[in-house]
Amino acid sequence: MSAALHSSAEVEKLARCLATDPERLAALEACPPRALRKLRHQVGDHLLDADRRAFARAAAAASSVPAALAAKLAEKALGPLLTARVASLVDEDRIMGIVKRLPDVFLAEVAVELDPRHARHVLLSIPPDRMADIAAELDRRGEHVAMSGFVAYLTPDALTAVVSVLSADALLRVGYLLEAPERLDGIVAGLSDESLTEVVELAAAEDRQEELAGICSHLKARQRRRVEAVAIA
Amino acid sequence: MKRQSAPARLQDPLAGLTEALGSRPPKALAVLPREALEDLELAVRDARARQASELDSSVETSLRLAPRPLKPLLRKVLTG
Repeated sequence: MSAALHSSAEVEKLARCLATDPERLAALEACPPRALRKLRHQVGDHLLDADRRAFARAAAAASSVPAALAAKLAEKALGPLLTARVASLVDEDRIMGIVKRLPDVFLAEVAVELDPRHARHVLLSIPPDRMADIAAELDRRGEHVAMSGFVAYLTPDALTAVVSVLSADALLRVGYLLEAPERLDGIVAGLSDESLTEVVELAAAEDRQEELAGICSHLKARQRRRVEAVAIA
Repeated sequence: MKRQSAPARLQDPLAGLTEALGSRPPKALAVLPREALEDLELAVRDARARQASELDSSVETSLRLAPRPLKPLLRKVLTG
């Protein structure tokens, strides 16, 4: 079951990368999640490399015109998927100027399309308070699988801000699917007792103990004891 | 890239996907039914074609949205 949920999440991410319906790729859920993640990275690399010249031109354009126009062109001409790919080739300083002119809703759509392997500087350029707004928007949309792909790449301050706005549902699912689970201990340490209790109670109420156990398996002793204490209470 | 012949695809279930991706996919995918692999290969090719088309469209849209004084610069950067 554990691998099945991870494989299902990977298929969803792959479908997004290919801009296709996850149903179309449902047969892939039979494959191990590690293989699917590698495949997704290959697809992302292939799509970036195949049109690298065009992406580089778009990135050069973003650096040649005023930031306000670059933001308008990203939103109105490129759309979230192409913006995410172009952004990986745009300088960090330039990205900051463009990001602050884009609406949260559009940034949320770009964030779920980003490949953090190539575009971590984009995530780092988004201030913590705006990242929290973006995360809240994605939580409202139920984009928990997509969030699990980039949340782990945020700065500590942005991560703290994001965690503070996420619902128990999001914390449980994003935490379970997080692509860099080594950050889970810090995330749980930052949760208030009240938030942690909500997560534990939700896991029990919705029979999602597997997700909670998956999170706990990455925690150090102190945070694991906190979770266990809440679960027993 | 040249497409693999039918016999090559029969011998190697991942040949078509390798060709579409330009790199060898994880061997764990070889257990998938042939139809699933062919559909995945098609999805990769579709995504690439759609991306190229959308990039072309984005150039036209960008030039239409740009203020007149910036159009020549933008055209030069975007079209080379």
